[in-house]
Amino acid sequence: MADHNSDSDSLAHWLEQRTSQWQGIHDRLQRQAERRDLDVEEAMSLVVQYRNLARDLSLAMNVIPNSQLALLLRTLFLKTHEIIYRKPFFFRQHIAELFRVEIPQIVHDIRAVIVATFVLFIVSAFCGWLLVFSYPPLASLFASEAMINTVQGGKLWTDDLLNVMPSSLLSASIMTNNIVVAVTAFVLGVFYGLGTIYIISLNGLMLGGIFAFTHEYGMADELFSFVVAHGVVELSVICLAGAAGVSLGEALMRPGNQSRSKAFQKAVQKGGKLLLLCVLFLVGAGIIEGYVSPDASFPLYTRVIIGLGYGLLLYAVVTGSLWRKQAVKVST
Amino acid sequence: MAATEYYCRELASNEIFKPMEQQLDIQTADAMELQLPIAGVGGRSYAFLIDWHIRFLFVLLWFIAIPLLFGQLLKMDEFFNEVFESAWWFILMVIGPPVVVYLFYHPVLELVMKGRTPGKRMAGVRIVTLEGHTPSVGAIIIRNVFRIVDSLPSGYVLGLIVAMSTKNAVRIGDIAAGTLLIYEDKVQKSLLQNLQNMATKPHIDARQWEIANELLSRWRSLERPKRTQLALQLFQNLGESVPQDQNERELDIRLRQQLKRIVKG
Repeated sequence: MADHNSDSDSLAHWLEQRTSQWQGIHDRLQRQAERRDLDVEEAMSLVVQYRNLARDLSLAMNVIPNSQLALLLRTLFLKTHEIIYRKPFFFRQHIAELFRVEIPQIVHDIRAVIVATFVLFIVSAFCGWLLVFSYPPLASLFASEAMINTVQGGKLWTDDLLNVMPSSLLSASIMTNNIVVAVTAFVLGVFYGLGTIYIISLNGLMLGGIFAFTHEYGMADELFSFVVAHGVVELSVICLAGAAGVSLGEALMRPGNQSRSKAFQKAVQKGGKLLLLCVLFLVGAGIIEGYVSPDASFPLYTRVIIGLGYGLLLYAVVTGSLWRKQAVKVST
Repeated sequence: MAATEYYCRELASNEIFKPMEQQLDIQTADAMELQLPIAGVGGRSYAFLIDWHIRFLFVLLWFIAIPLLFGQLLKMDEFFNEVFESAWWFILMVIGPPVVVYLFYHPVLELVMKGRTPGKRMAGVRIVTLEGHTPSVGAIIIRNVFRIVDSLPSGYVLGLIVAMSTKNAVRIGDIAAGTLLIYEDKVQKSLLQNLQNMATKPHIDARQWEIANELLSRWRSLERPKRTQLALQLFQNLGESVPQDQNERELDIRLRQQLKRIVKG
């Protein structure tokens, strides 16, 4: 009984002393968890309080483990721990480094996969072309009834687009669609890359098939003229996203000397950064597709220049040559 | 009576309950060990269902409110003119916000509310990284982007299967982002205040106070005979005078008042 009493006495004493401190920390966290500009004194006082909290928490976990108080102390501890240990984040430098260093490095690391994805796409396009060229009725696999009828009537289905929708809406919807396709191509890589391969080859097949179909009615040139301004970048970006997806599959299949989930997480982070770039370029491609491509007043050579120019920009950003005065070999 | 005694003694003793759920073991850089309870498939599904209903409700209300709004603001012939002149903008305004809310509900709210959404809050779960911290922007975006995969073939079947088979009960999006869901009970707001009041009264045992606090906070979720029994038992253990009353309701109210006095000081 005597022990019990002195136990509870010391407990009460401890509570009496520390409760106001905890209240202080609690209020402080409510107010300033988000601030990153604490001065040195404030930061050091937080560290001292954190250490005291650690002691209080171990005490609480030992003496009153399942109580509300232990829960509260644990929450406070985690919050202060997070504030103290979170990484510094300098936004502008972060972004600059992302584009200047990280993305070229990532592209360099998976360049074999990128080449393979492009090859897959081109081969699928060729197969699609061959398919529809040899068996014209198969065009219905890729084109809708309305599109087929329009083309057979001598017009491209893209001719009247601007009459139906204003350019801004057109580019917004196309942009959204493209971004969803790119992200899906990336994410489906989790199925050991098979999902991505499916999407890339499907897109290639469709492209080749549509071209063969329009070629039959002598309108392949018009289709090319429509597509070239935005298509160079759009198709390259889809291939890049596909490459990121395939690298996900590779990380799952051949994780090397780390666990599969760790390898997967790393691949997701790398691929995610690449995908961020892809999304940015798709925004531009959507704008071009909404404003330039359906507009009949742009002649062919302008479209080719825009298409190639934008493609060159993509290449420069992706390899990092845009940011460097002279070509520097990226370290292996 | 035996059951209540057992309950009071258990909470007051040094024994540590072995919880049923998995624990996330965190070792901080200064060798502090922590354990956080990992939320299982049930908690995560419950949270998602609530969130889905909130989104659905918003979309429903929007589609009911918009025709009413347009009918009120514009006269009928003007209304038709508006529709035919700028059909696309009209469609955008009608369909846009619900779609945006439906798709961006999770990423935006999880970011703003630091790993929670209203549904998760109601279910008592929260998203944290493997060290117990709030997830970063990138992690939340990745986690939500992978919903495309987790929701295959429909209704998150793949995600649920993966969650049921992994150690931390995580779905593919969580694995990719390095996050998991933990149970986070709501802490009483007035706890510290009550503690401060309690600490100034030396005659009450801290552990007994804890039991009294717990009983008070759960008063409404217990049924009257049970809570009467528990309160009487507690007062007996504390050596406090027990209020007598024939009327059940009256006794209940007075017990609660006395409990409040003990807890809040």
